[in-house]
Amino acid sequence: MRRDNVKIALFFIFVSFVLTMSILMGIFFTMNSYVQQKKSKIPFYIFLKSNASLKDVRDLIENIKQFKGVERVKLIDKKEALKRMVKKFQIDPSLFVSNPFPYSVEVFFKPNYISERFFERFKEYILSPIVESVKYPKRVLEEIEKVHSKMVYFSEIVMAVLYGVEFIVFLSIMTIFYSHRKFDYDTLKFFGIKRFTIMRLFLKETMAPILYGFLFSVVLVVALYFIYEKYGQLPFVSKELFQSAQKDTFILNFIIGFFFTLFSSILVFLINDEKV
Amino acid sequence: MVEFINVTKSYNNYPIFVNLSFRIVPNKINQIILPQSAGKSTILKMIYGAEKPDSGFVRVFDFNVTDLNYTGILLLRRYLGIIFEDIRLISNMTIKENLKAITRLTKRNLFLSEEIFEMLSIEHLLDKYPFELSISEQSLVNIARGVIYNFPLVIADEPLRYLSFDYKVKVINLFKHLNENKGITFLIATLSPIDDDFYTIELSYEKG
Repeated sequence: MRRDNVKIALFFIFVSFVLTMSILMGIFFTMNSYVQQKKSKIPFYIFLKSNASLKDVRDLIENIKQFKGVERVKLIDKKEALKRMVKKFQIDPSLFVSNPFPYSVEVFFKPNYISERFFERFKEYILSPIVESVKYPKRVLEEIEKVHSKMVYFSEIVMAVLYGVEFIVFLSIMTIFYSHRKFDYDTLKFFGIKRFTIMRLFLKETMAPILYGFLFSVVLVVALYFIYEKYGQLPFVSKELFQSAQKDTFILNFIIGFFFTLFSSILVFLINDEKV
Repeated sequence: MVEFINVTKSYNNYPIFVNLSFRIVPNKINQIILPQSAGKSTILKMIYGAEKPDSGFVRVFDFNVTDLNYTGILLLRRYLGIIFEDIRLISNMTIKENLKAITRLTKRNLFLSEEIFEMLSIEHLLDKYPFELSISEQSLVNIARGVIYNFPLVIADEPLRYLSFDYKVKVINLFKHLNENKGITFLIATLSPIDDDFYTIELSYEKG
């Protein structure tokens, strides 16, 4: 069969769409995961009164664990705290008549819950007679939140613009595809073939390169993963983080590419097809 | 079967025909003889609804084509064998697929007169694509596609244009064979008379 250049062009447009958008989306997701990972390491400190007993503290911890968004709670035992300080500064323990440290608790939250507003709400929630004070690194939280929201906004804008541009590219190639086939389709109409049947024929022809494009992309992605796994290394980002972020973007962009092809084919057919 | 009554047709305000009237003879091979660019293709296109007359009536199988909507026109075309002047084979189908496309895409179980392959010596071309064929071979396939389903009416626009003398004889014999044995009516538009046995239609019209 004669090589069909329009089909080949559509095949490569689809492959480049899936790969470019997946990689770009993967990079944004990786960055997002990285920032969220950093956010989730911000602790919320609860300092308890010196007269608070271990039982009171354990009850409070149980109560905190019930709060939505809490990932883990760490109890800083007062005996352990004294022992560490003595060891660290090499102080004679007999100098202490009583333990000067109160119990304290470090609370870590899931990344999605970390915001100043949430921390303030949590502050009100844990108000209890045994709580002396609460603290969290406000400045750090503010900074990281600002960076994160800017990054999310930037990536959303970039992705939206790129998807828009890609859809225009799909529309253009479909217009070329239809013009390329118009003579044949008009001939079929002269034999009484319905326009709906011709549209199905057109869709079948435009969707075929997409299927091959998908198979080719799968092979390419597997090969790229293999190479990355063996030789690749992104600075500051672990392989696991990068791979987990990449995991679904390929499938998502294949689905988007499929619908872009389908919608652009139908749109181009409806606009250009004539009753001859 | 086909009748034109006072048909007027113009392009860009330039009249091609004014009050064109004629009627074809059923079960005969009819030929319309007109010079170059005198409107042969336009007459045939008006029969299968690809062109609409400005006024007048075009009657095909008791239907007034001018009154038919697009669905009706598509339905009418399903009972016409058409041999195009510009061949019009589907480029991405093999010759066999081209010949069977009408039955496949309209989901009709039509009878294919496969003896036509032999009569036109095109059996060896069936698995090829149109671009692999010479213009005369493509023309033979175009003719075969027009007659293979034994539709009651075949309209042909200069069907012998690209053929050598030998093939012209083969095609004329095929037309005669189909007309005599299967009662197919032909309407052929041509520049010059093709065969003495063909019925030449007298066109009545005022020149534009």
